[in-house]
Amino acid sequence: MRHLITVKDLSLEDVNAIFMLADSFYEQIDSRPIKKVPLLTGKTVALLFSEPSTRTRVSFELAAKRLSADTVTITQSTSSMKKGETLEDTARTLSQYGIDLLVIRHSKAGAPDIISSLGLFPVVNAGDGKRSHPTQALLDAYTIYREYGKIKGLKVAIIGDILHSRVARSNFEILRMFGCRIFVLGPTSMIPSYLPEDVVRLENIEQAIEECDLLYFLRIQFERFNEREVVDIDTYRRKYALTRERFEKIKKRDLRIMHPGPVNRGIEIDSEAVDSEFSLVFKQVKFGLYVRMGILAYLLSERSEEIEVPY
Amino acid sequence: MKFLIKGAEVWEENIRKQLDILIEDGFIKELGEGITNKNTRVIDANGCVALPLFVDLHCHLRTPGEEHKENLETGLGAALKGGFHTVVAMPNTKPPIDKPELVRYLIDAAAKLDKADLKVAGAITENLQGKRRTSLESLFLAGASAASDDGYAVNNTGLLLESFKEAAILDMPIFLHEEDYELSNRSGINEGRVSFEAGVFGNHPLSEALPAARDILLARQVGARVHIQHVSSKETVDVLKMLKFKNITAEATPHHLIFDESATLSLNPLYKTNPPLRSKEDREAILEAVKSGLIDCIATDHAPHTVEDKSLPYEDALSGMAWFELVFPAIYTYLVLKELLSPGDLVRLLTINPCRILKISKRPRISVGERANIAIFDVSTKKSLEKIGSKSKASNNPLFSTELFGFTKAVFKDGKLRFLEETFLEGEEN
Amino acid sequence: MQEKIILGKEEIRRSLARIAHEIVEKNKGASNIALIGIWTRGAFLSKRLRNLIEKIEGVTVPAGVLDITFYRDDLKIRGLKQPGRTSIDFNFEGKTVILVDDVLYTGRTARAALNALMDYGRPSRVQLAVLVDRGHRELPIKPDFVGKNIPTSKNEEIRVYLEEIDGKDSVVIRSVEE
Repeated sequence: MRHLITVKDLSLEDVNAIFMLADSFYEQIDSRPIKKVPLLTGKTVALLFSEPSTRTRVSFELAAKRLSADTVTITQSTSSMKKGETLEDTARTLSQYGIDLLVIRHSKAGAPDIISSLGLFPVVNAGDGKRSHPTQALLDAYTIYREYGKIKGLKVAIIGDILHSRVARSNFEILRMFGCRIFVLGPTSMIPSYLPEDVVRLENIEQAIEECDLLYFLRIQFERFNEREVVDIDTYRRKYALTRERFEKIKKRDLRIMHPGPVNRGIEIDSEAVDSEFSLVFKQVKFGLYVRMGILAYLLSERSEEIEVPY
Repeated sequence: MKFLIKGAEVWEENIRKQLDILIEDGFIKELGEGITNKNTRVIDANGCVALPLFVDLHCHLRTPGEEHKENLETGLGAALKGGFHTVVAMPNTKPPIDKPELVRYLIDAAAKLDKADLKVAGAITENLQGKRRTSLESLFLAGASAASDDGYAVNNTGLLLESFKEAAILDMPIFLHEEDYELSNRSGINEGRVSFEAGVFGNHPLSEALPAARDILLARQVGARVHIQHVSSKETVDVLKMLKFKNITAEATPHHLIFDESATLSLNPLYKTNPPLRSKEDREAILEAVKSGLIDCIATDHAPHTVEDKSLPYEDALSGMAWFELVFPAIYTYLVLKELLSPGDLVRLLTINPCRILKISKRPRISVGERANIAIFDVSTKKSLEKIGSKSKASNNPLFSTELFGFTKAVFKDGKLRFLEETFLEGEEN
Repeated sequence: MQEKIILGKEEIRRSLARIAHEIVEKNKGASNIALIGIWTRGAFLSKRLRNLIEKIEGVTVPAGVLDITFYRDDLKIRGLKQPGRTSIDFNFEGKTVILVDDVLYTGRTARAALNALMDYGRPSRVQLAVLVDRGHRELPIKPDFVGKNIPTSKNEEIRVYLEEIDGKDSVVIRSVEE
């Protein structure tokens, strides 16, 4: 039984297989009127969300539905789960209903591991605390591959609130897997005191624009700040944001910009840039659906019986 | 009643030799090669080692208040099976042991059992809240052997100074859990690579070293005996190097000696401890300090929890490992077999020094004329505690189902055979 | 494993030529038909049929490719095996669609192909053309055009090799170990 808790659960071969499935789903379904294939007919995908999320939940729910799986969504506040039923019991209960795969979003790092260790069904991590968001990393890499035709060797700058970002953590892992050169840039208060050895810290955004192939902006996660963590928006805008002036240079260099969304428009990136042809922000959303279809198909098809006869 | 333990390798302060042990009327009558004696009950201990019983300065017996996790019977039973003569229970029970009646209650209740002996640490502050001092004198007179707020740190310096003064007069050792909460973030993950990858706030190594330095300076000022609990970082080892003097002692836990932070990367709550497992370098520094004597002893910090308490996401899960029955097998398999610790080190760390700190004048000793206080461990076969079955109520140790050498075969305590082949023996007839 | 050739290059050519004639005859010309080949070998066969029909009628009929990987009821995605690419760049609403495949066996592929086809549009009629019908149907499916009926047992396997991907044209039968 395979799980997807962190990017480390995947080999490059797995990632390529998921991308190939995403390619096929995209090409077969995106442009036609009936946006559904019967691949996972009769399977049930449960979505357990204990942290607010619309985008990821909708993306997973649609991915499951377009593969003809049934979906059931459980939203719970973390506190009630903590006081009431344990995660293990929730999982065992779902298992009795015969669900085939669980997608879980949880505010606490390691929550998906508690369920995957039971071995009841494949578990897909849709974000746990600040730790990991592997499906976002996969869809980001896939978007890069669609846009650039390759991933290997690209220089990617990840800019902004690294400290609170599970997206950054997971992207480090997948970009490393593809042999990218990873750079980070952000306010000193938002760069963790520890950074992986292969991640290079840049001095300023001009350096990123001049030297990198792709700029990945992160959302400032104000909701995760504690009293010791500070950010000054004026300074942030002046030094790290993609302003209109900087956007001119991006156009000149024909760079692409990405953001996991939702964008704080006018803070991390100005609207003009978000909505431009240089922005991959909405392609990330679109490809995200097909990548998640690929993930579900990949994890679930392995459970089916091997049937040799192709006729 | 006569016993002859045959074929075990005896590990003592300066002995490592296969010797037979003849026990008569509770005392070691003869120690030598090829002893034969008629009308004795022979315990075949080939492939075993025999050590003097251990003393543990640090455990949690969850009594009163959380007997579903452990009670005196199961906790002291597990301790006896693990080879412990005496253990010191920390006061973080529900309610905490902050009153003389509670100290007396525990000591009396434990005395009725034929298991390990119990000594009690009384609280330094009321309800372990770090705000109001308890009367150490009344706890001491009720029988408390030490004072501690373990599980919680006392960071009120003025209060500590007064407690130290009182303890100094009573010659009562103070056991300190050192933690600056502002630096530790109350996190079960070491600050650095692992906390970054796990995306959780890290526990800074100085969260322990800074208050340790402070408390050693305070103790020096007033002459108190201060014992630094569960040293977890090389910075704290450095503090000991710089500031330790004759009144200061320190302990290390089996988990900080055996594991390092890489085990916590998976966010498996079984590896969550407080203080957390730290880096490879920290572990090496602690091992070296334990070898050199800078850290005086190994204390288990036996912390039984229910499966539910350990099935929460890492950040919410409770800290600690249940150790009693695994201490020798784990240390033997991971440290002695790898020659990181010697048999003589174990006797010093698990028996001699803990007794010195508790001022137990007659330590368990395998020597002619001494009372039989002997643990016999089978080091020739690998077993798992899960398969053998534990005597503790708890199973929260990452090694619970791991196959290890060195599980207990028999325990003689105070002259009597108290444990043999997974069975407790009670009463006088032994 | 012993292979026995059942159809050679010439026989395959003659079978396809006959199917092409039958298609034209049955549909009264080629003005309102479309060929859709089932990936993989059906796709190449449908291209050959298109060329043959063009020679007979002088009309180029639209031809597409249908991949049914995601419509199978017995799927196992293995390693890196690339699913085929569906490519239907014409509207077949109101047309007679002729599904083309190499071998008809249980009928499950044809069933999946019918389902897949309906998700792309609404043909007025669907016909099925196969190079080989080996029997053992598990579903009520009957081909409209057959190159050759080959009675087989269940522990035999039919392999179709085509010049375009296999470098040779032949149909072989071999027995497989139980």
